[in-house]
Amino acid sequence: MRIPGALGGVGASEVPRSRPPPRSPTWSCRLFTVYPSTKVYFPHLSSCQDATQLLSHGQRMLAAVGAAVQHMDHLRAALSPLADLHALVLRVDPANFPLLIQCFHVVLASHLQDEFTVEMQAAWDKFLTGVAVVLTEKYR
Amino acid sequence: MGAKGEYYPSKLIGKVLKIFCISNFVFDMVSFHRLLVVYPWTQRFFDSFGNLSSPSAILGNPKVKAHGKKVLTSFGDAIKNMDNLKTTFAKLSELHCDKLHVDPENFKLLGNVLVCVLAHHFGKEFTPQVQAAYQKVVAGVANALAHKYH
Repeated sequence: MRIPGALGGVGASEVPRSRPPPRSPTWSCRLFTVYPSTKVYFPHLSSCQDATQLLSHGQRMLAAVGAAVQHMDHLRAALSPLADLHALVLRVDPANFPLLIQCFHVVLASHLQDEFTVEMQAAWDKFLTGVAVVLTEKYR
Repeated sequence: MGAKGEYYPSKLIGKVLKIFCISNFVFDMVSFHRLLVVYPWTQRFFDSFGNLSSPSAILGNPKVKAHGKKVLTSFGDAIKNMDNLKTTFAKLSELHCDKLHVDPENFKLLGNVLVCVLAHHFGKEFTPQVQAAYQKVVAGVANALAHKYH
């Protein structure tokens, strides 16, 4: 499976499917700790103490990434409702997506260690950057 | 940066400084190699390095290894001079602007790759707090390197 069109081709075999994803609160809590400015978009989640809400939020984000992986060949169609949400309701500044991607890389690197090869990082970076492009395409 | 190092927890920095000094640990090579593979447009500054056509070619390239060592020595200097990054990197900043013509965006990319390499090495120990400290260090270095651009 390859990412088509404007996103170019990428070896989707490097995008891991067999391992369970890192625990979701880790990802959200890491984002808020490392890049505190991102908390402005989540006033109801500003505390890393509230594990239940963080877990729920993290699970939603990971589920969206999982859905994007499953529909890699037609990302725009698959993510259209989320793109509408981001453009019309959430309006997250596009500069924040690379911050989230960096946290994703770090969680993968610390969780997978030797399995997180350069090829895997390149594939994930390309894929997640493509997702971010689609999510912000309808902003203007 | 507070006197007690509240932005840069000194124990964490000290631990990584030890790692930086371990000569047989390949932070240098791994980070620079990873930069050139994950962000291939960064290769544009290294036309004279020879074969960079594949991840394995980059990994085996002696000029990449040598340059990686140089870059990581600079990061080591950063950790030792965190209260004075702009002065520490003033000459390097001028060099990157006037002679090497490197887009400062690349400094951020290398910083992020270095953080990933640290996460890979430390695994579960690379907590959000540790990552936050190191993202601040690499951001400080990137800013210092871009400071003399004009």
